Amino acid sequence: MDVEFKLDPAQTEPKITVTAADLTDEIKDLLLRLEHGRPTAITATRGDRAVLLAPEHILRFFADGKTVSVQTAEGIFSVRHRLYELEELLDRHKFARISHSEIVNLSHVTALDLSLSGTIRMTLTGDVTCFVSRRCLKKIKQALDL
Amino acid sequence: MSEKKKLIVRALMGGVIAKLLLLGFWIWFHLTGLTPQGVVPVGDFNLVSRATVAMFGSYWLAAAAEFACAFALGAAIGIASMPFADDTRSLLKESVLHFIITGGLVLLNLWVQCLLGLSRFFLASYALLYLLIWLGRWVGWYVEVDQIKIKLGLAPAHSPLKWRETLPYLPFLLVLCVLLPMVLVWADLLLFAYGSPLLSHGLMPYVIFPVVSLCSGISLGKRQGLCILYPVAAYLLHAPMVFWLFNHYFYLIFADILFTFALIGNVIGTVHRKRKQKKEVAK
Repeated sequence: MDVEFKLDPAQTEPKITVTAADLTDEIKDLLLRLEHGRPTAITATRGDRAVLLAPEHILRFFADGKTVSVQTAEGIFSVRHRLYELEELLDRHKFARISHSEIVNLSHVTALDLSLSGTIRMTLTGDVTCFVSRRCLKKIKQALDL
Repeated sequence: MSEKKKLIVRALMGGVIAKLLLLGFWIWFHLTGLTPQGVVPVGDFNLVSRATVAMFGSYWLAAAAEFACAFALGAAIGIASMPFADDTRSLLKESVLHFIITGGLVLLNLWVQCLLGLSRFFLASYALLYLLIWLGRWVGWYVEVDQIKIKLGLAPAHSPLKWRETLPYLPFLLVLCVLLPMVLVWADLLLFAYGSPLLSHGLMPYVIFPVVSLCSGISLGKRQGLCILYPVAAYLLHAPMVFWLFNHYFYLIFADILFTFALIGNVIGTVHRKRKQKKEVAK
């Protein structure tokens, strides 16, 4: 991808033009990120160490009391954002709110099971288990354009 | 509106509706001359049954007790859908607790109305209705979870004749086509031993069957498209009951009603689903 910057004092409001042969998914994602300021990485901390986590490596975000944590294959970290802020920041087609206290990365879902008692258990990569609220089934369907 | 307020509003509405329904039933019983205690003269109309007044010793005490019990039962029914919408994992526990409490209120109402002799019928009907509603909700979630699994690539594509997609609705059909007729025939023997079987030959085939099979057909059609096995299963499940309970091939018309309305409902649901899909593609 060629990135070019043109200095133009007459352009008071920055304007970004993307030129491509075809509107691929990559271009669509780029345009969305440019338009909505979607982050390419999430800043997380563990102890006094800060790390940058790529969204595709994130399994889930979950609220633990007053703090919000993020889980990847490497472990659990803390993030400064609240869940509702993360809901707005992240790609809604890839991350869905599954309950009052959890947002999961749908590309890491390996199993989804409904028990006779009505509980919906979701399994993520690495056998991470979480439970889907019945109220949030609609949100998941919206994320998947169902 | 907060959850607490919603709970209170639903309980109040349920209570008021229950009381109005009870009043309606009493008026109907007295207008038709048909009551569970036998035929009473049409002119002998009263808002509270004589047996209840005799039990409490005072008209107003009997009326207050009847009002309170009917209101409580209505309130319990009014909040019935709350556990289903809850975020917690304790759906089964909450449902069982609600079932027991509401069942207790049904018995209490029967006692106040001096109808404890019919408690087996009412409790069986109540349990059946509860099971039907619970199954209906469960089937809805099952289908939604299945749709999500297919979209996430976790489940195989459609099965032949969509038998897998129809399967979750089978318990619901069993209750509708097999259990319900049995309960209503029994109810007719208890309530209308001296007259025609209004429930199993009137209410069931001409009201319950068309409405319920149409709605469930629409539900399946909206979620899974055309599932021809559904109306076929409805027919096949009820047909043996016709010979066992009614003992005459004429009553196969009841199975025809089930088949027809289930099919119509399924087609309506399928059309709705296709239109919705076309709209989304156009967007």
